[in-house]
Order: sequence, then C-alpha cells, then structure tokens
Amino acid sequence: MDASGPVSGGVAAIGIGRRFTAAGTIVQALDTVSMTLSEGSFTSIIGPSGCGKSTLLRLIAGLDEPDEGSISVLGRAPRDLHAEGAIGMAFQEPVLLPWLDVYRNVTLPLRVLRRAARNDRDQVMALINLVGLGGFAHFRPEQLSGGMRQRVAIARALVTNPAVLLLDEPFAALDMLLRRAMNLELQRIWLERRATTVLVTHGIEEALLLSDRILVMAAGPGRIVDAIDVAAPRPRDISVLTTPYFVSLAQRLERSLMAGHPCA
Amino acid sequence: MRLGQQYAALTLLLLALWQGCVMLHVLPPQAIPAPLTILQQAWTDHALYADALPATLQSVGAGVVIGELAATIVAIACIFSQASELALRGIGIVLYALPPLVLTPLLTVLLRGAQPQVILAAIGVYFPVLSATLVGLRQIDPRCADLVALYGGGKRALLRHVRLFAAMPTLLAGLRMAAPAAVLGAMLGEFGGGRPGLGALLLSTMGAGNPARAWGVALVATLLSVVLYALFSIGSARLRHRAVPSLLALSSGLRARGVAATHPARLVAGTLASAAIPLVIWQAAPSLFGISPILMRTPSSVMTYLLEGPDAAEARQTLLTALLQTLPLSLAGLAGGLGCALVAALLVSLDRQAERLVMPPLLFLQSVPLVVLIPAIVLVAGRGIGATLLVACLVTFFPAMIVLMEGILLVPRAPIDMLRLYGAGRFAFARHVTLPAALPFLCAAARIVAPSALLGVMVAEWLATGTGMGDLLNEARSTLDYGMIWSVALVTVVLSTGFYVAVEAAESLLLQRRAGGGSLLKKPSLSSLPNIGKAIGP
Repeated sequence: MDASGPVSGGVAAIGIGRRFTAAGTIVQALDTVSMTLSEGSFTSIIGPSGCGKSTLLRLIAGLDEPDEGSISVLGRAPRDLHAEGAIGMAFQEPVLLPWLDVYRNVTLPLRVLRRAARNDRDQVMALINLVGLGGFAHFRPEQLSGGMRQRVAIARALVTNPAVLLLDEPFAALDMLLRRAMNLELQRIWLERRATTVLVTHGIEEALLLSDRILVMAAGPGRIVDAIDVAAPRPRDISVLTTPYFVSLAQRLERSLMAGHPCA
Repeated sequence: MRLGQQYAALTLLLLALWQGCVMLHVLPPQAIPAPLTILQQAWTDHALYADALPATLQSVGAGVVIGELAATIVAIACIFSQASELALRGIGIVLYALPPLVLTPLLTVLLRGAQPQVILAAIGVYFPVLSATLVGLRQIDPRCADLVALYGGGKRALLRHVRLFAAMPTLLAGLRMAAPAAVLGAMLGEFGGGRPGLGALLLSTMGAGNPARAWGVALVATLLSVVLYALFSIGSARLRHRAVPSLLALSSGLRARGVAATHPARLVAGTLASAAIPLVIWQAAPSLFGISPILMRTPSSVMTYLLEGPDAAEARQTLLTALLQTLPLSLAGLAGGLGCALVAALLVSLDRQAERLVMPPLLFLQSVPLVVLIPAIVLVAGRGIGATLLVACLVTFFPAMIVLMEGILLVPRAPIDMLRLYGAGRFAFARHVTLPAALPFLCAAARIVAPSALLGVMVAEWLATGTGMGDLLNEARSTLDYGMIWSVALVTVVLSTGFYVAVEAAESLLLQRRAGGGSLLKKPSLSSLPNIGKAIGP
C-alpha cells in the first residue's frame, strides 16, 4: 500500500490478521492489514467503533501477537523493545496509580525498567514542564483535573524517550475546547521529541491537524480502506482547518469513513 | 470529624439514659447493672484484669501477625497460580465455616501453653484478610498490566508496582473486619483451661452472682476489639485512596472468580473437591506429624468410633440428640437475624440520608464480639432457648445488615426517576428495585454469617444452657472423651461446610437466572470504591 519501502526507524506491518473468539463465534478483528510508518512520522488511525483500531495499536505495542503476518518496530519484534523502553503508550483514560504523585507516576516506567530515576530528576522535571504541569509534580491524581491527568499520562509515555509513541484516543473523554488545546500541546511536544507517533482517534479535526498521514479503517473485518497524506507545514493552527486544502481532505476523509461504515 | 462527635454525644446520652433507667428502677439492677456500677466493679476487679488483659492481648497480637502473614502469602500465591488458589480455597472455607469453639478442645489436646489461643486468633484473622487482600490484589485496571508489560515487566513487577499497593486498603479493611474475630478466637482458646485471660475470666463469671463483673468483662472485651478496629481504621485513613466495601469485598473475595458465570453444579463440585483437601490433610496428620492417634483421631477413626466401636450406638445417640438441639436453634437464629437485617436495610434504604448515617454505627457494632455478651444476656433473658436464640440473632444481624446495606448502596438512583414517571413512591422503589437487587446480597450475607450463628448457639450452650453440641463438647473435654471431641469436630466441619457450599450454589443459581439483575448493580470497580467508602468510612 506504500512505496516508500521498509524504514528501519519506523513501524512496518505486513498482512497482519487477528481473530478473537467471543461467545463461541470467531470474530475477525483485523484482516491482512499492511502499513509502513516512516521514522519520526505522525500517523492517525481513524474508523468506526469496533474496526480493530485499538487491536492494531496493541499489536504494534507488542502487548498482543497477530495470528497472521508480521509486524516490526525499529526493525525488530515489538516485544523485544519492551526491556528498552522504546515504546510509550497512553490510553483513553489516564490509568494513573492513585497512590503515587505526578512525579512518581511519570517515572513508573523507569522503575519497572529498573533504571535509576535519581539522576534523571532534572530531565523528568523538564518533561513535566513540557506537558504543562510545572509546579504540580507533587500533586496526586485526585487533585488534578481530567485534562491534567491526561497530560501526566502523556508525560509518562514520553519518560523513557521512546522512539515510538502510541496514543489510544487519549483525549476522547475531554470536552471539545480542552481537546483542541491538548491537540496543540501534543503537536508542540511532538515537534520537540519527533517520536514516531500513532494516534487512534474518532476525531476528523484532530487527525487532520496533527497527522502526516491518516489511515482510514472499516469494520467487519477490520481493514485499512484509505490512506490520506496531509502535506502541510507545521506548526499548524486551528485556522488551517478552514483552508480549501484541509476542507477537501476532510471531505475525502468523511467519504472514506462513510463507505466503510456499517450503517452506510 | 463532626459526625464522629455527634455519635460520641449520642453514646454518652444513651449511657446516661441507661444509668437513669436503672436508678429509677425501670431496668432491673440484678440483670442490667448501671454503667457506673459496672465501672466501680471493674475498678475493684482491676487485679483480675491486670492478669487477664495482657495474656489475651498477647494472644491477639501474635494471632493477628501470624494470620495476616499467612493470608498475605496465600493471597500472593493465589495471584500467581490458579491451581494453588483452588486448593487453598477449600482450606479457607473449612477454616471459616468451622466454629472456632470446636477447635478449642482439639488444640488444647494437641498444643501447650498459649498456642491454642494464638492459633484460634490467627484463624479468625486469616480468612477475612485473605479474602479482602485477594479482592485488592485483583481489582486493578487491566491497562495497568499493559503498562507494566510495555516496559518488560512480568507478573512480579506488576505485583510489586501495582497490585501490592492496590491491596493495601482492602487488606486493612480485612484486618478491621477480622479484629473482633481475633479477640473472640483468643478468648475461645482460653476456654480450654488453666491459663489467665479474658476468656477464662468470662467463663468464671458464669454463675458467680456478680452481674456487674459479667458486664464488665464483656465490655472490656468489646473495648479491646473496638480499639483494634480503630487502630486499623487509622491505618486505612492514612492511605489517601482508602475505603473499600468491607464485608461486601470479603463476600466477593470468598467466591471463586466469576461465580456468576460458573455453572452451579460445577461450582459445587469444585468447592466440595477443594473442601475435601483439609479432610485428607487431617486424615494424614497423625502419621505425618507423629501425633498419638489416641489424642488425634482421623476422620476414618471417627467413623469407626461412631459406627463400629464398643459404645457406637450410645455415642451416635448422644451426638444426634445434641445435633437436634443445636441445629434448629442455629437455623432459626440465622433466619431471624437475616430477616430482621433485610427489613431494617430496606427501611433504611427508603431515605438516602439515613443510609449514610446508619453505616458507621453498624460497622462499629459489627466489631463487637457479641458472643462475649452471653453472660450478660443470660442475666437478662435467662438460661433458656430464648437467650440462645437472642445470641444467634444478634451475632448474625449486624454483619448481615452491613452486607445488605452495601449491596443496596450499589443500586443506582436513576431508576427512581424512571419509576417516579409512573407515579411510584419510595415504597414502590424499594419493592421493585431495591428488594430484588438485594437478594444476591442476602445470599452472600447468609453464607457469611451462618458460621457465626452456629458459633453463637454453641458458645451459649457451653456457657449457659448446658444442652446441645456446645455442652457435649464441654462434657467430652472434661471427661477426656477424645472420640466424642473429634466426632463433634467432624460433624460440624461437614455440616457447616455443606451449608456454605449449598448457599453458594443457591447464590450462583440466582445470579445466573437473572443476569439482568446483576447488571443493574454498578460493578464495584476501583473507581466506584471511594464513593462507597465515603458512605461507610469511619
């Protein structure tokens, strides 16, 4: 589906399939999905509920194994990258540990990896500042707002300085204005870190604003039906979305989504 | 805490009322002495307490430590291996279902010194703490496991970074719930004889013609478990994300995972199989540990004693007579306690404010080892069936009501608006929503409190009425009739475990038949726990 060829620093999936058994019937969650994400790129995956977006993300993360095909991250099996902290991930909810403060939550990956966190203190504080939580390092999750908690989760995903950043609808639970603000923050952070990023989302606006490329998925079985490149300079502002280029991209994206939607 | 001050004021008011009633001869002073009289007597008896209290404290302390350690180790083993969980579950159920009084003469036969008291206190602690710890260890967001796996962490890393911390509040809640059981266990161990302790003191007040002392001992024992309860409460209050449903957590922890999804027949088979493991251990114990087979009878030799021995027919008759006295009383007391608890819980549920007000005193009263009140109850209600029934009802009422209240607190409030659309009021809501939603919790309550009912009846029989299994055990102990002691043990183990398994099967049948009923209740997840905790927290 792509001509750029294998890229050692990115993500490459070739013909992956994944089945689940639910209530006695086999559900094909993913069917021959192939994609190549170049190093340092920002890719969004968009599609209806149940099209296997999150399954795909878990496969890239090495938290699950495909039934068919192969997947490689940085040219290796994703699982093998765990011990190096090369993959960072944020979920739809922040999934913070309530008994740890912001600093300890952010540094949890370092402790699991048994890396000394003490020497990294300045770097971690810089990261906490980067996500806009300077001054909140010793707050507990319960003392933070929803948007702040999600920033903690993103800082945690970045703390190992991962080559690959996987985001599973991280702003889905936030209101629209907060979500926009978080999108701009994410763009700023990404421009600074340049990790190969995959964002699973339902939001057309979010996908257009942030991505180099948008993969459109359809359900039953989960598959990629369209790939849209977004060739616009960064940083992008919310106002770019009203330019003719982005409007035409949005229309194409919507058409692809509709074509693959079970209700269409 | 303002609520706490209000409760303290209320308590003082009640005490003053009590004092006044006795002074005005509304209450008979020979049955219910005035608080000041009790206090005066306790001061006179301070030498007795100086002897008894440290001994009991020591047993309770050692028992809590041993029981807690064992429970934590077993809980972690269960997390790592399902096979070990199945096996250990049977031992846990038997230890829980068996009234500790039955173990008293056995342990005094087998062990020396304070060991029986310590072991009984540890057994009292073990199961509640195990169940609560398991709930805590398991109740983690599955994505936490993903998160740890993402950085190469396995089961051990997940345990170290997430599960252990997640289990801290439930572990403390388990300890809190287990405090009265530890005090009670230690005191029942002291019934065995010889050594000083609150249990021995309690035993000596029977028939001593000193009502103020009987009340005093009961109140000191109560105070002891209340202090323990308060200690563990302070511990859990210091954890910021404290608060766990207490007995509800225990009741769900007592079950194998996904009981609702398990077929009742398979559940019964599995539980019976695992409950047979302790019997096998018992059978093998004398030869394994080199204990004299005269002192320690195995299940097979008990069967021989009851079926083929020289006095088999007589022994069978004695046992059956005792059983027919004890069993109906236990079941009646259980039914009475559960019924009162259900009615009380439904009444309280009519008013949301009342729900929140009623929980703290309930939790407090639950922590009173009510069995220690038996001498006092005898003074009020005499030595007849009435006193025994009162004890059985009392010991079952409070824990049952807590389980039911916690179940009812999980009922979402949205349906009340839906029913109001059709002109329904609070009573209709209670009938159509709260009552059906509470039924599974009634089963859980029955399972949890049934052993207490049996224990209450047997202690009352031992101390007061001189009938039934409790008295038989006491008799057999004083005449060194080892065959009978172990026969009582075997029969009680089989009966109480059987009852437990039967109620569990009924519960899973109920849950299975109405999967809809289950979905009405909010699942007590990690996120919903704080709210429940706020409602019931100290």
